[in-house]
Amino acid sequence: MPLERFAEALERGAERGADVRALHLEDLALACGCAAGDDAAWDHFIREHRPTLYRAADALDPSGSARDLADGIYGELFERSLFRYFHGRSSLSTWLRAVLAQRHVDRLRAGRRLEPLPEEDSAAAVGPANAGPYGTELDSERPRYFSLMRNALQRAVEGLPPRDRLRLACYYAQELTLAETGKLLGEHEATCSRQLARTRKTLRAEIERVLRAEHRLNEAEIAACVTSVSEDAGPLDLRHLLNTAEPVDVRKKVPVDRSKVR
Amino acid sequence: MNCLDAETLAAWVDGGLKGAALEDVRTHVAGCDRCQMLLGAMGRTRAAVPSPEPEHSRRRWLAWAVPLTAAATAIAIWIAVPKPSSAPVPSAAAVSVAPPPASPSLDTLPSPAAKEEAASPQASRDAKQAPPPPVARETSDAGRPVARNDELLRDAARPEADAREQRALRAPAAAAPAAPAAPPPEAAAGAAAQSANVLAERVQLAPRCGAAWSAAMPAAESELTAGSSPATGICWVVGRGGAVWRSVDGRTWQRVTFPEITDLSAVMATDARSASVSSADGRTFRTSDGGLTWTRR
Repeated sequence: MPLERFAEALERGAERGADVRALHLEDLALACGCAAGDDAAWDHFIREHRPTLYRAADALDPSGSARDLADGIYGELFERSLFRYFHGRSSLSTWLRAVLAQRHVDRLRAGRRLEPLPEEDSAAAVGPANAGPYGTELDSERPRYFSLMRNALQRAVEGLPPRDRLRLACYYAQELTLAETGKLLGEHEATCSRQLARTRKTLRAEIERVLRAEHRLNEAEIAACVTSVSEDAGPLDLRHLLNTAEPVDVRKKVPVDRSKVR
Repeated sequence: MNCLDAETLAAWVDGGLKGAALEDVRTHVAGCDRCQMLLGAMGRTRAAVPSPEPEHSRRRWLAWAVPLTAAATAIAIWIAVPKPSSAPVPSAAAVSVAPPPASPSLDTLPSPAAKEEAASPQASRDAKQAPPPPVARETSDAGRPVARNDELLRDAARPEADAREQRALRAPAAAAPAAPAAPPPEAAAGAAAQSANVLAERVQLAPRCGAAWSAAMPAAESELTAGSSPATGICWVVGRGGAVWRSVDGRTWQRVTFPEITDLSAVMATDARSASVSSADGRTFRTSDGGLTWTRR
């Protein structure tokens, strides 16, 4: 493997703010070898990392539609063009998964732009008024309750500190495990679990406050509203609520009114 | 800050970001749809990474090594030190045959739910009275159910729900009826419940499989390693030696015939009939007819 290429990759990694001591040097050397056309390096890459790429594609979409993305990435790797974007800041395996995930998400989003958005505010989105299992009075209120709950939940989520929002997004919306969520946030999974429980209480308190103070619901109506939505979330999707919240600087402390938390 | 590129995402996942760069990334992702989807996609590709030997198994071995060493030392001392000849010999009538010390057999071990009940009776009562979880719906993004989305709404609606209660809700109820079809033997049920609990902790299946899903967990004839639950009540679990089990009602389990006796490390199910299973040696098998036939990729 040409040392010049390795040194150049190291320099690029350092330029991108990576701590040289934390670089994955073995993987970086392997990538440099592959990029330089070293047959032994390429054989090693195929043996050790190609299966990861295709397993990741199958895991992303078990129907097999992500395999063409993996094929494309493998083609670019074979042509050596993609290796120059790897600077050893992670393991080669994780980087391959990230490249695949990035392309998968971008393709999903591109497809989503072409689909008509559901009319979530319409009564049809929560079903016909009398189709529910709660009796006529509650069922007739369901569209209204959904609308109120969406508004209250949106407000509550927006009021959360970004770190709490990120934790919610990772665990509830993206369904990462507690350990993975904790790792991304730099906290132990037990801490992560406790923080999620605390955030749920905060959300509940804020939802009740908004329903009570701004929508003038009494306690019975609030209870009915919460029950209605908690038993069938209907069109309420946490991901939409989390993504519309404005990003705020994590380092700025956002005061949380503890008196709101039961 | 711009959206994450693949290298930054990978560095974050591998713990390679520090200081201000790390905080910038967290701040951005907290409000970015695309980057949150990236995290979710990265999470789903975790099945592609061969799972290392779990650390706790080594610790468990060490935990056994200490008492075994102590017992061996005690026996050696007992053999080496001669008995005093003046010790009174009890008469035969005075010798009472004590029952053997009760060894903790599997069927005498309390179930996880019983432990939860002992720790928190109220939580267990709530668990028994808890309504069945709502049916997960498919989303358009990646065809995955948004079970935790519903879970959050359910949890937020119950402010008293703390982490312990959540665990109780996910654990099988102590008085849950046995599976209507092929209930396992009692001893196996204890082991199965333990195995299920471990599995539930590891793969976090329970929220989607219903409260009683692990009450009739397959007998722990082989170690279960992974599971996948694409919708409420539907679970696939795999284990060593080609063990594949499937539940389509969250209560009963069916052994699925697998073509090879090989250790299985991951499973990704899309519904009750379709699943993709990875073996520890990196091969992938797929079925789309509930395990009647498998194709190797």
